[in-house]
Amino acid sequence: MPRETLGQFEQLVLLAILHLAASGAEDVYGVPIVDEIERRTGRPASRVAVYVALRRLEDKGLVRSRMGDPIAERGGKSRRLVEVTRAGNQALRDARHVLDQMWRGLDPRLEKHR
Amino acid sequence: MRALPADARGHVADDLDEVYRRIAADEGPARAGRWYWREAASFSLGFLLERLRDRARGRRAIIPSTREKRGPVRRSFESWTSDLRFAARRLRRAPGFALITIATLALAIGANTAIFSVVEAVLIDPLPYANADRLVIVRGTAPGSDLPAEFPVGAEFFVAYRDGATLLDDIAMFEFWQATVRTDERVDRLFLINGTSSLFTTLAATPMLGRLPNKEDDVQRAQVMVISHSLWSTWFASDPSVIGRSFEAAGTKRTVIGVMPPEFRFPDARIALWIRGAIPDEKRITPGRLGFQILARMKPGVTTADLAAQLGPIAKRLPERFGGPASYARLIEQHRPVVRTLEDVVVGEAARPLWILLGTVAIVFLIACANVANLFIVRSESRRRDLAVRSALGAGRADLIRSQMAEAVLLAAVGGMAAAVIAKMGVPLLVRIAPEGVANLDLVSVDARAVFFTAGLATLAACIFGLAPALRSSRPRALGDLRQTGRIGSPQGRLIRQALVVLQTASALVLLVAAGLLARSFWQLSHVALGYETKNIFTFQVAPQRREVNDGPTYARFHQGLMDRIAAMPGVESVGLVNELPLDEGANRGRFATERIEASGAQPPFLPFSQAGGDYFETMSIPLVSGRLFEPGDHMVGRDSVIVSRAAAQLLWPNEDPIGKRLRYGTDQSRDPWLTVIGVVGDVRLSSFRQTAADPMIYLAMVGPTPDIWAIGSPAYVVKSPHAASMAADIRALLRQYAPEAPMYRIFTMERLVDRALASLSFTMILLAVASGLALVLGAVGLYGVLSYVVSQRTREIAVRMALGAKSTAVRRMVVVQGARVALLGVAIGVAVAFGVTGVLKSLLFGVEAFDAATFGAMSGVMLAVALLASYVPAYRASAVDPMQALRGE
Repeated sequence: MPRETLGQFEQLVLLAILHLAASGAEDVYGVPIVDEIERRTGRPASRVAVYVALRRLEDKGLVRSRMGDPIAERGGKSRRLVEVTRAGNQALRDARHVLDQMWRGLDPRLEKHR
Repeated sequence: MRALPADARGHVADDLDEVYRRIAADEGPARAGRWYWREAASFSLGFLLERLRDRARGRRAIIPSTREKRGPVRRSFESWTSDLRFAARRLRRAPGFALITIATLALAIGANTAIFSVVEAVLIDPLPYANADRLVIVRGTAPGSDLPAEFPVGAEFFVAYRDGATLLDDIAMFEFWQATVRTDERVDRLFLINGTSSLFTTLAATPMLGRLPNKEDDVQRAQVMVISHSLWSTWFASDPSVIGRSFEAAGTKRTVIGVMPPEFRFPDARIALWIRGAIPDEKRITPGRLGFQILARMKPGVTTADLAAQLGPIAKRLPERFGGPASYARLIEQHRPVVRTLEDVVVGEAARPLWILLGTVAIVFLIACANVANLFIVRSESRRRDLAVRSALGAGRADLIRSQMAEAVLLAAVGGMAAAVIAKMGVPLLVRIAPEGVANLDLVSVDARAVFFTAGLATLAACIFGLAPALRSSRPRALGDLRQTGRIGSPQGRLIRQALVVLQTASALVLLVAAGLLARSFWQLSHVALGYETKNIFTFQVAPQRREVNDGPTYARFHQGLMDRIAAMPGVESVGLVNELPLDEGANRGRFATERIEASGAQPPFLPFSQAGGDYFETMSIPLVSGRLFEPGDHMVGRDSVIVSRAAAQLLWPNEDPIGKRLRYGTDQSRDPWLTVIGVVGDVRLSSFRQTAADPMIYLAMVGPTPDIWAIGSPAYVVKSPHAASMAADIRALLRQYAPEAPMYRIFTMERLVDRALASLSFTMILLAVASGLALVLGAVGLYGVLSYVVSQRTREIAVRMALGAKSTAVRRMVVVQGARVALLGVAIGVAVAFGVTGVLKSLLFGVEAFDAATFGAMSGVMLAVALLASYVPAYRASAVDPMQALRGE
């Protein structure tokens, strides 16, 4: 299967999911993902872009989702929880590798090449 | 949110809510609201673009491109199957709606099919003879005489009509008998017809086995008979060798020459045998012996009026041809022939209640349709957005209509199937509680015609409640509201729904009033004073069959012996016998003259009479008014005691004391004996609860002044005992010891006879009560549905009001008032319609007027109470609305 290429925003979303999972967050779903991205990038993120990205990632098989348990705050409805698949992990690694390759030989702070 | 793909909608909206709440808590609701609308817009746009991108890439295309390649028929078939599949899926997600609709339809269509099956067998096709509409029964009427309004005529009429009526193809004469039939293995008392050989030709009947009586048999005076299919299977185990067998029927050995097919009956299913009867030698007919039925087949195109007109003059010439006394000539002068179609006679009184019932279930069906229509209107409106999007994405009007009709068709199909099951179960129930004597009840079944009827109704239902909303909501104009927010509810939709509920309420009220009137009639009727007791009384008849029992005294001795033995049984309080049991067979009538009547030369009155013996009066609790009752000494040759009822006494000796007065039994002044009145007893109602007055009765002793003047052949015994319901076996055992050759039959308790007499009314009443109960429930559900919908539509308004300080009681009142308005309008219309309609019930009512104010008032009250109850639940829900929730959500 040809490896899926990841757009930049998609990478941000995947990384946010991984961060949330690593930090032991209860539920990993749309709302904290947006928060996490905004927190780490320091810039506002388009919420709809996140959701669209999640759908695309799921279509590509890089993310899987499931409906969580019903919760009281939602009046008995549940949240759509997401997690990164093995393929998603692999895609991230590949993207990182590609970037590393492109960065090799350049000053990381880019001062010398100004 | 509808622009989002379906599986994203729910959780995305919830996520947005969560953030909204957060923002509202941090920065206030105003800011949060603005944020919310911005996000909603961007989501709609974002996902729409995503979809377009997908389409462009050829992935997840919304309209499959391969569709154009298939032919139109295949396409339409596939569209239907996919629509049905989607409809099934949608319905599964709305189980409440689906179940209510199916249940409503199943009950309404099932009830209709069950009643239709009964009506079909009894009313629409009641006569299994060729050209049955040309068959007529000819009787006589003689207004001004004291004969009953219609009476069966004498043999001379048959002969004269046969010879002189040119408008007839064929004519026959017959009598009903109930007589003992005895083979080597069995004996019983059966119903049979004694008829001329032309009976079968007139009916154009053909036998299943053997042949029918013919002219040859007449010439030879052959004692032949034809048996029914049911007799053949129960007594002769369907053995074809029964043809040619001889056994005793009605006292004479006769030979079986034919067996009739199973569906043949004449005139009803009780008849087991048809005996070839002799027409008395024409020169020796005694005119004036009435009691023969005449069946005739009119030539094509002749009406009953034509025939009656032709027969009249023929009848007028009877005394010329046959002679007879002066009283006979007088009778003929007053006589006119009465011609009725056979169908009329056979179906008789059963027709009216059945048509009423059919009308009733039709009303219930319409109410059910109104309910389901309401449900579908709501459903179609809640699907408006969905349809709007579909239309925007390329669906044609036909596609939209089809997608809505698919649900209707599916529900109607399932409802129809459930209805067939209900009908199949309901029909045997109906037959069991139906009154006796309703023709052809044994032929009622849920057959192919009923199935088609059900299917037709289901299809009709689908069209009525599926098509209209589908057409409306798929109009191009209606689809232009993708932009609209909040629940959509067009003003016309609301009006239609409220109109439907008003109609339902009105119809339900009409049924309730009808049921109420019948219930009151039933109560009144069952409390009519009959003049005798009916509790704990067991009755049966016995027909002794011994050569030595052949006249008054010998019969009396036989029966007295049996009565003594029965009286000795444990638990028996008293025993008596009578020739004509009230509520069973009615009474014989005869002419009785007093000395004054004879002196004046007037026609002696035609009065019911019966022999009575044992402790008949005590057993039946018929009170003694004056004088004394029969003692053993009265039942002997040479005695002349007679007992009269109060009404008879008043008729024969007005304002005089009848004790000791004399009464002649019969009109032959040279031979018929005088009897002396020894006692007066209370009056009784003989034949029906509905009689306006009790019958005057003459009670004769078991034995008359001479041995041959009369005899009690097979009287009805009455036994008073607390074990009345279970005595049959013991008495049968007793009888087997006392007289093993004598059949025991017509075994009832008096209470059973009472039930039978009331059956016509109780049958109609029960069914009408069930139907009106169903209508009431359906009407309440309909009202509840409309009000719930109104509440949900006006949630925002209610929330605003409550946020501005309106109390929950005020909100509840608002909803209840709305419900009450609709209900009141319905009740008003219902009362008006009921006024027009209850006249139809008049023949069934008893003791209550068709416009009884109390019933109308009570039922209106019930309807309003139920309506208020149905309004209360949505009202309560309205007042429980959380203003915050309401203002945000959709």
